[in-house]
Amino acid sequence: MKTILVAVDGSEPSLKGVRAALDLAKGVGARLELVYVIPPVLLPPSTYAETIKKLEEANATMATHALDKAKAIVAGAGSDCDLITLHGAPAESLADLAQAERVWGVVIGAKGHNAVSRVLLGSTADRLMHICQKPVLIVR
Amino acid sequence: MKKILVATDGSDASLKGARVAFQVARPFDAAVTVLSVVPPIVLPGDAPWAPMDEIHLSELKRGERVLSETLAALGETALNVSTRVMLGPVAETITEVAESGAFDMVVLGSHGKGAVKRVLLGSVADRVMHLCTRPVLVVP
Repeated sequence: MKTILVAVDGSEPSLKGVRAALDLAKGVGARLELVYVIPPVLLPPSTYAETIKKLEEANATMATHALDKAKAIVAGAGSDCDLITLHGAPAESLADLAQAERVWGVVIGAKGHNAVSRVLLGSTADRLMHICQKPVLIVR
Repeated sequence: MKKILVATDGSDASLKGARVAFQVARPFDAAVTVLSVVPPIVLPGDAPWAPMDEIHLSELKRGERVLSETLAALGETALNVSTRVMLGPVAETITEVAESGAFDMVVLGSHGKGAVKRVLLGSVADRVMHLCTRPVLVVP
C-alpha cells in the first residue's frame, strides 16, 4: 500500500494539512505517515555540552508533542498512521524520504511556525515544491 | 472535498494531474472543473494590422481542443465534470478561478509544455503556489 507523508511541526497549517491528507489518502487509497523533522542545532563549538543536550531534549519533546497532536486528528477520523522523526534540514529530509518507492506524495502546510505573516508560502514548503519528485499538496 | 479544479495545458504532467484529481474526486463524489487557460498573445505595438480578435479566438479554440483531448484521454467517468476555457495570464487566471469558485483543491502539473526539462517546477505552478490561498496539489 502506498503512503502519503504529512509534514507536521505542530503549527495550525500543519494540522490542517493532516485533515487534507486524510481526504487525499481516501482518494488515492494510501496510508498516512506523519513526519516531524528536527532541524540541526547550530551552536558554536565552545557551547557547554549540557546546553546542547538540553536543546536536543527540548526538540525531541516538541516532536513528540506535535506528532501526538496530529495523530489524535487521524485517530479521530477513524484512521491509523505511522509516526516518523527525522533529523536534518526539513525540506531536504522530506524530499529524500519521498523518494522511497512506497511514498505516493507529500502534504505540507503553506507556513509553519517560522513564517512571516504576510508571506503566503513559507520557505520549507517553497523549497520542498522545488526539490520533491513526488506530488506535493500545499495546504493553507 | 466537494469541488476540485484541474488546470491543464495538455502536457504529460497536467494529464497526470487530471487523473489524480478524478481519483480523489471519486470517493467524495466531488465536482471536477477542468480549466484550460490560454495566455494572451503579445505583439509589438507597431503591428497594428494584426487581427488580434481572430488570433485570440483561435487560441481559445486551441484551449477547447486541449480540454477535449484531456477528457478523451481520461475516458468515460461517472463524475460531475465541467470544462472552462479562459484567456489571460495563466497563473493569475487559475488563482482567480480557484478563489472565486471556492474550490477545495487546485491540481496542477508541475511543469507544462513550456518548461525546460531539467527544472522540477515550472513557472506557472510556482506562481500559483505563491498566489493562491486554496490548497494546491502539484503533480510531477
